[in-house]
Parts: sequence; C-alpha cells; structure tokens
Amino acid sequence: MNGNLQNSSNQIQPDGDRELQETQMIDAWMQKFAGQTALPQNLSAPGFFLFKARLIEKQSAAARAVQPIVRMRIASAVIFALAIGWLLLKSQTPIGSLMKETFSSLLSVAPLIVLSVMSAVLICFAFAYFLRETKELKK
Amino acid sequence: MEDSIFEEIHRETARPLWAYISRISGNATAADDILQETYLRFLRSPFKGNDLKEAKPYLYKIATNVVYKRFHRMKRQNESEDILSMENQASVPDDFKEKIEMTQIFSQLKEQERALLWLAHVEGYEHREIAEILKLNSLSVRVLLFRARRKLAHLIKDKS
Repeated sequence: MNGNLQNSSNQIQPDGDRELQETQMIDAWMQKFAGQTALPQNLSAPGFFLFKARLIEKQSAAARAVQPIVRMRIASAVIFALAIGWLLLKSQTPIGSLMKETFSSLLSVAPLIVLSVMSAVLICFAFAYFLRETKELKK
Repeated sequence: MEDSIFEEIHRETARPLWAYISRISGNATAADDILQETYLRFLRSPFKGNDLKEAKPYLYKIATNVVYKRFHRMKRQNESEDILSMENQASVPDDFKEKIEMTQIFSQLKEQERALLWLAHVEGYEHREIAEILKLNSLSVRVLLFRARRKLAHLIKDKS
C-alpha cells in the first residue's frame, strides 16, 4: 500500500467504505498488473547513453559554431542582391526600365496584394485552429 | 553529470521506467526507443541534481512527454491489437489469458489515466509529485485519479 491510498481514504469520508474498498481493489489489481509486466532481459547500458549524448552534444556544438557564418552568408547575399537591383534600377539599360515598369505596375495593385496576403494568412490560422480543436475533441 | 552518478540513476530507474513506458504507451516494442530518448533528453537537460530522489520523477516527466508525443503519432498501434488476435487462439493457457485480459482492460483507459494510476499505485507517488510529472494541478490529480480508479473498477467489473 502507498501514501495515496491513505490520502484517498482520508479525503472520501462521506461514502467512505465503498470508496475505500474500490481504492483497495484497484491498488491490488494494479500491483498484480505491474507484477505481470515482462521486463526485457537486456536494456541498453548507461555507457551507451553517455556516449550518444556526448556525440549529439558535439554535433549540436558544431552546428552552433557554424550558425553565425551561415547567417552572415545569407545577409551578404541579400545585401548583394539588393545592391545589384538598385544599380539596375538606376541604370539606363533595358532591364532597368523593365524593372521600373514592373515596380510601378505592382505599386498600383499593392493594396490588393496586401489584402490577399492577409486573407490567406487569416484563413491558414483559422484552418489550423479548427484542426487543433477537432483533434482535442477526438482525444 | 558525472558518469558514476548517471550509472547509478540508470541502474535504479531503467527497469521501472521501461515498465511504466511500456504500460502507458501500450506498446512494448516502442518502449526501448522511448526509454533511449528519455535518457538522452535527461542527459542533455539542464538538470543538475545528483540525487536519485530528484532524478527519478524528472525522468518520469520526460518519459511521459515522449510517450504523449509518440502516442499521437502511433495512434494506438499498440499491443492490444496483437493481443486481440492472440486471444482468438484456443490453446492459450489460463494464466496467460488473465494477463491478456488485464492488459486489454488497462488499454481501454486513456493514456493520462494509465499514467495516473501507474504513478499512484505502482510507483507510490504523492498527488503533488504526480502533478509535477504530468504537468497538472495537484487538486486536479485528486479528481482525475478518483475518476480513473472508478473507470478502471467499472471495466474490471464489466469484464468479470
């Protein structure tokens, strides 16, 4: 018997006997059930977990060390692309004029684009929320 | 964490933890994997305690989280299906039939109810500790445990 059994017997005083009997019956049943659990002969040794944990730690440390370099590469690529775009816009080449035209036509429909993006995001959120609620109900 | 401390924790907890995982997930074959993931998460966690008393509930907490996450992926691909097919075989010994029946009854409970009953009646944890492991309010544990006991009692009566 354990502490919970005593707790339960103390707290359920009004309809005491029946509750206590039920708790005792469940306790006995659970003990028997636990005793029937067929434990495996061989479980992984602690050394295996220590080795694997250290290996994972090394890998994540290496990934963490590389992260700033990756971020800097992405940032420099973005800056480079923006600089090229700005130069093309300022230049008198056919590509520059084509870009100017595209931008001006996009600006005229900018509110519509913003509205569509916002609606799409809202729909996605609503759908995700609906899916989560359905899952919770199923549980 | 020092190797010797972890080895001691592992020695004391591996088998009961495996039994807990196997019973609440209802899947003995997945229990090995879940146990491995539990210990790896434990080793990589910020847990700094050197005491087995502190480590054990923490391990149960991690194991419960892993089981819950996997449970939704597995969608009850559990041993009860195998057991149902095994029960149809006529030449099953009586004591084995009883084991199957008990497993079937237990598998009809929700995973949280299984965890509550196991932690309270097999591991002997207090309500406060169960609340900590299962991330519940300790008052809720009292009510949920009461309901789980009642449900299990009904299932046992129905079966008998």
